[in-house]
Amino acid sequence: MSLPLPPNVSQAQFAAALGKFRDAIGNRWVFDSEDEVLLYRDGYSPLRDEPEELLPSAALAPQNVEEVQAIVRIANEFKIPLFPVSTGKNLGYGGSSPNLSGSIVVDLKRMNKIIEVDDRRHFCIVEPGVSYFDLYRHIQDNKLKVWIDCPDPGWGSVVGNSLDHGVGYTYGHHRDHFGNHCGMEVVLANGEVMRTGMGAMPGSKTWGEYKYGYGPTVDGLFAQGNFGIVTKMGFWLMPEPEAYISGTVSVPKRQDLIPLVDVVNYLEHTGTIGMPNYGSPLDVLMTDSETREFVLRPDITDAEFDRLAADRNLASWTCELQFYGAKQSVKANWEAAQTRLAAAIPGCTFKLNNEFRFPMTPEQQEAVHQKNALGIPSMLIFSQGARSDLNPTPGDGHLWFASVIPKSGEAIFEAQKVYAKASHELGLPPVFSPFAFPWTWMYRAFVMISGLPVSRTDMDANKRNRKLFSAFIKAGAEAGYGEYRAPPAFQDQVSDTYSFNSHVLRRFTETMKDAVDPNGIFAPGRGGIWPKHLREKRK
Amino acid sequence: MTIFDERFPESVAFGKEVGRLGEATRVIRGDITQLWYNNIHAQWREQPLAIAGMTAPGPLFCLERWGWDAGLRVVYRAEHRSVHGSLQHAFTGPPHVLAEAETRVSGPNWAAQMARLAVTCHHGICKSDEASFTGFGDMLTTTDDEALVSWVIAPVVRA
Repeated sequence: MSLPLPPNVSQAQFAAALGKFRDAIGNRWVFDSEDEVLLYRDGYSPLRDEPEELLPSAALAPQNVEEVQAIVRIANEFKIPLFPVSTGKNLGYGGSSPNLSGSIVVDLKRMNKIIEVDDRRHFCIVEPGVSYFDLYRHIQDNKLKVWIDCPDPGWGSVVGNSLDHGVGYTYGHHRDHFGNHCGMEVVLANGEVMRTGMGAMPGSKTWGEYKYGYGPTVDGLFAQGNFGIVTKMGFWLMPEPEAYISGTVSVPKRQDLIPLVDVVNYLEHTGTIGMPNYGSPLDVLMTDSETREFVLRPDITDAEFDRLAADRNLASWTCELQFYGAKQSVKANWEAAQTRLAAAIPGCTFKLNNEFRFPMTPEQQEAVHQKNALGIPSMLIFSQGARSDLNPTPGDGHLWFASVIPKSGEAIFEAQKVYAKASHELGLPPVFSPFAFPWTWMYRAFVMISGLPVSRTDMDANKRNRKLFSAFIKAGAEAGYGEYRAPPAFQDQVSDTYSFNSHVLRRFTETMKDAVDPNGIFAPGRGGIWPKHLREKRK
Repeated sequence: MTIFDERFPESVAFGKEVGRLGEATRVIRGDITQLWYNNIHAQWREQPLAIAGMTAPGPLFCLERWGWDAGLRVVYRAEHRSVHGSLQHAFTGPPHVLAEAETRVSGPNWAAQMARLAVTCHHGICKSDEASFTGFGDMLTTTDDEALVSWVIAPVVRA
């Protein structure tokens, strides 16, 4: 496989640029051999080995802000696009591969300082190479009374995950990783270093506490965007609670989902609970072909669903509620939640799952199954890829299709039908069954998410799933749902769906892009934003 | 260090043979998190040393990518999978190691023999070949048709 050159850059120019990069950051940290550069290939690419596969031309690993500035100046000189990655672990959403083939990956893994963690004011300031494991280890080693909120798996970058609007599992706003950030430092396209929020005030004492600073905030431009290379970020941290309780409510009937979601919304939006975990015990019945055929009939009634559940002595829906706080309040809140749910849903039942006190010993932490609910990073998810007809090669990876839907039971039912219809129109079995439930990482919206499988060997399967992914984007947009995150191969299509007033949002962003990055060196195509000279590349 | 997964008898046999050959072993139950966090991460930060194992694909996937950041690569990989009632073994590695592979998978103690192959492959990296063989037996003890992988991750020297 030969590596692509950056667009409109000759081999001689590229070689000259690489020479300057070597002078700037050291030969050891410039990667241009095929076997080194292909390490930055997307491990879950849906275009693997196809001509359209997105590949970098080289990779650079700077150690500090000054080296990043030097890289940016050289890139501008030669008009070579750069694609920054933090730890490059964004699997399912593109990994470390760029949106534009031929871009040079700027790997920020060596910029891994934990600058500050304060467990009285509950914030941290970190560089992009700091992983969730790194920050967790720092907190544990120093016995600090704060928690991280980490995604699953925990090997990603605290900065990088937030800049792709990544999400987590603990309490309230902590799960919204970008929303929970507080100030950043960015290298701009002209090589200057800018700080936002209170970082913009020299000598500020509140970088990690007050995020707005003064005047318009521009931080959002650097998340799912391509306006700079982020070199530091502040984040609010959750104080270590005294106690945690989790309990599950089970409801008997299909339509009980509606009042269940309403009550759980109230509990979450009043701050009573952390992340609710919905589920359906009936989902396991989909592995039986006869039941599957029965359930997937378009004319199936709620009464038939309810009889199916009753005959098997299964609840129709469950929701795990998680309480954090003082030991008295978690118990009281669990009691209050039960009272409110019992009043709203006849026949619902409750089960207490876990009770923990903090701090925990390492042995106690190891015994916890749902570690991410307690801010403990884990790689367990990589041990859980089960093979199925829908996912014949789990080890080859997946694409995350993740659309934002309203937080209501009605919306869940509607979304199941919307995506089932989209699958049916392509002659494919539904990815979202009538028992599909939303994920609740965002605390003010639901995400209907599924991993469409990719294969390293079956290109026909990849083509089929790319077509399905596109069909889902279209069907979702027609129903009023938008994707919150997407792999590079689909970012243009997703961007197209945010089309109010002839795509005015994108046109506004492109106007700024042309002003601050006139050579278009930062991540062309990321978030659907292309520099002027490459705009025809939009798919 | 050599890693084996106590859930799978084949992996246990691999680990036992490695121990018999005098190498240190570590056990997991599917999840690589604790071993990496408590042992390998610190080791690779200080000095990237070779490790080997027979595990399900998930732990190798994680270790391989962590290894990249520390200047290590998978220098030997053998995927062992039950296919249509027979055990298939697909190897990628140094020619001198692959030359012995077919013989070593042909008997009932093939898993232990994979340990012997792995320990000959600890150091450096060289041109790798690929080879596939049908071996002794017809099934693995993994669930959901999952493969087992025996592997070696070792430091590389840039040209």
